Amino acid sequence: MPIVINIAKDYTKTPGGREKKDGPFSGEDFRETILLPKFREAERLNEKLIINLDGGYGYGTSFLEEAFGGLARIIKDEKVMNIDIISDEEPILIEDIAAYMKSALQGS
Amino acid sequence: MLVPIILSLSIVYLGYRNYKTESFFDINFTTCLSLLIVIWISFVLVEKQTDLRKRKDALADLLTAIQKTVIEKEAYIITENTMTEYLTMRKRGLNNKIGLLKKYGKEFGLEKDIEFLEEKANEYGEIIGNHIDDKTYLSKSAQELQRPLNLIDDRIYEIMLKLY
Repeated sequence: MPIVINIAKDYTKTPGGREKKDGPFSGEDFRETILLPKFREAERLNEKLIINLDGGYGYGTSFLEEAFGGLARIIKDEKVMNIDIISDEEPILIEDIAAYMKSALQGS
Repeated sequence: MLVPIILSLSIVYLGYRNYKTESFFDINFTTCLSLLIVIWISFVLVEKQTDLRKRKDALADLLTAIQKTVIEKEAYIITENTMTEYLTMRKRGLNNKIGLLKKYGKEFGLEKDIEFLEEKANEYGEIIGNHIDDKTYLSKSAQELQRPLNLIDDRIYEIMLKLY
């Protein structure tokens, strides 16, 4: 069974900015409290990790870059690219997130 | 347009020349078949043109919707009380409309223009995204926000003219 994170249901419908110091529901906080632990769990159980971006009010670019790019900078491995992203409400975010992770991997 | 006019005039002339002959209303099978083929080909071609026109009109409506989004004052005049949700929803709406343009605009050779719109929309999105929790900054950034939006607005006029 894949591990699914629905950000709007499991975290917030109103994601904030990049870092915790910027305000509540930051990308950094999401990564630390939900994304990274679930990624590790999926790895341990050898399951797919699926992130559903739908159901909220939209995302700031810095939230996504800090969450997903930040994850790639921590993991430092192409396996982060195996995460499945669902975004029917804003499909372009799927490409954007892939680009953040790729760029973060190239930079690390 | 010229070809159908010439053909129509030719047929009228032939009709006039043959009007008083005995076999004026007689027609053989080959002529019937030819007429039928011509009618069906004309029908298919006209339908194709109509569909193309409808797609252009739909694209024009989409472009107008984008313009409405970018020229609204609320897109660049942000106050301390502006809710984060309004900012992110507006950004999402803009991204989605441009995504549709990208998908359906290829047929009309608009790739470069749409790439431009996408770049400017990303610029706008980055400013919002980087300061989403700092409404004080955003409230003082009307010009910075308006810059890419004005460029989107201007380019859309050019695209509209290219479409038709």
